[in-house]
Amino acid sequence: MAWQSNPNISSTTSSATTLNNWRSNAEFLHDRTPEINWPFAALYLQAVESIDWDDTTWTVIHRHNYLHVSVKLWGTLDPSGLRAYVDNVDSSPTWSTSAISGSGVWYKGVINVSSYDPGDDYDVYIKADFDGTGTILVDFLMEYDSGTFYG
Amino acid sequence: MVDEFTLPAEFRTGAYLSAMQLNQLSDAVAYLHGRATAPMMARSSIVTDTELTSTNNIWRIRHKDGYNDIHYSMKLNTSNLSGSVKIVLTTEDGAKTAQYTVETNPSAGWSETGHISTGGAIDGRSLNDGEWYQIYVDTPGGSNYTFEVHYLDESNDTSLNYPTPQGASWSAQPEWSHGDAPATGKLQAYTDGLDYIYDLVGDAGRNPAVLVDREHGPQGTDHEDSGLTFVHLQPWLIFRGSGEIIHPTDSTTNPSVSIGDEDELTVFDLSAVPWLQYGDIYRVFGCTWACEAMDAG
Repeated sequence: MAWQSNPNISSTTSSATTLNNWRSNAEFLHDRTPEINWPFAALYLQAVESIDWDDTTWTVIHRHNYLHVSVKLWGTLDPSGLRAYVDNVDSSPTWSTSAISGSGVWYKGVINVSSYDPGDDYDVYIKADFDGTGTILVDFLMEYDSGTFYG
Repeated sequence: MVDEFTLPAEFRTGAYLSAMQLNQLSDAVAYLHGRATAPMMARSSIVTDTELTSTNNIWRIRHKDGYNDIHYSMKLNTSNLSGSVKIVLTTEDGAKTAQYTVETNPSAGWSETGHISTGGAIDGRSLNDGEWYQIYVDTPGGSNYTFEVHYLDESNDTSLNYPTPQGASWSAQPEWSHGDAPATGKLQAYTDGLDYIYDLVGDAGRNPAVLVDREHGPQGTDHEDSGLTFVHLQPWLIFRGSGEIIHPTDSTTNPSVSIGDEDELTVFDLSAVPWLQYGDIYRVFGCTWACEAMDAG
């Protein structure tokens, strides 16, 4: 079953062919929905001096305009702060922060990734250096079609 | 929210067109819109300086009918490796069923985005829609290198190319009542809605493999207690091992729920978590592996 161009409707009379064209395309798209909802494989690093690309990167298959970034950390960062790299370019958002238990800080930010086309893949990693050592949880990286932080 | 996909019966020339049949079409398109516009987590990926084996990078796929190609993206940094990079397919119990060599003796800087055609519903096994199988990437050991696996996807196509965008805007799907006369705007909503979804979804289906929790990955000890983060979109949690479902910010008001006690695929009805609503973020902690599914399977 292949995708068929959908008709432009200029008349209130629709033939069975037109209706079946829509029906067939709905079936086509349903066949392209994944079987599952996959999780974000979070990353928790305890008592480390830094986090960088070689701790892990994540790949995003682009669909929505905004990448939502949630990171929780415990410790003091050096002046360069918390950064998010998209395809090796520092794309750090304006972070909003809030206190969390254990004297931690929750960093939330949204990066505009609308320059990619649907289906493009890009890599993301988190970079930070602690003043001494610290603990970090990369909680999620998620695309969504809203620039307001999710959750 | 429409939570089930049902196609109307085929339309026939000369037959009466019922409001019910058109509403089924509206619901089907609305369902697809909900699936296509849902939040989407970044993929499981690996960056490691450790040899990848059957014990440290298990990926699990729920087979989709007609999806017989495995797409992959990998990269090697810094140093050469002596030996073969392979993709190995196994049963859910871990018994090897096929292996495919991706590259032999890869050099530093090697990267590849490609696919393998397994044929016969995954290497001749005639898997049914919804059956599980496992994949792992096998690499030779070495020194001073990093190896990256970006994704593994099952697909119904050898190409993951996207068509030229239709550029349509989403249009809410029409509701019909008995006796309604067709209006061009209401009918055009089907064309616009389907084109809008097609732009997002593309031509080829991608059914992702899901990696184990990082504490069971190649950097297991260093990545202990990493866990998995979900946006709740589907009713069933399918997982392996035992662990907890945790509220992301307030586990005092919203107590954690313990799940599982055996190292086998287990199904849990997420409606049993009192504080969890569709669209909420939650974490699964302690399990070897987990994903959400539309049906218990």
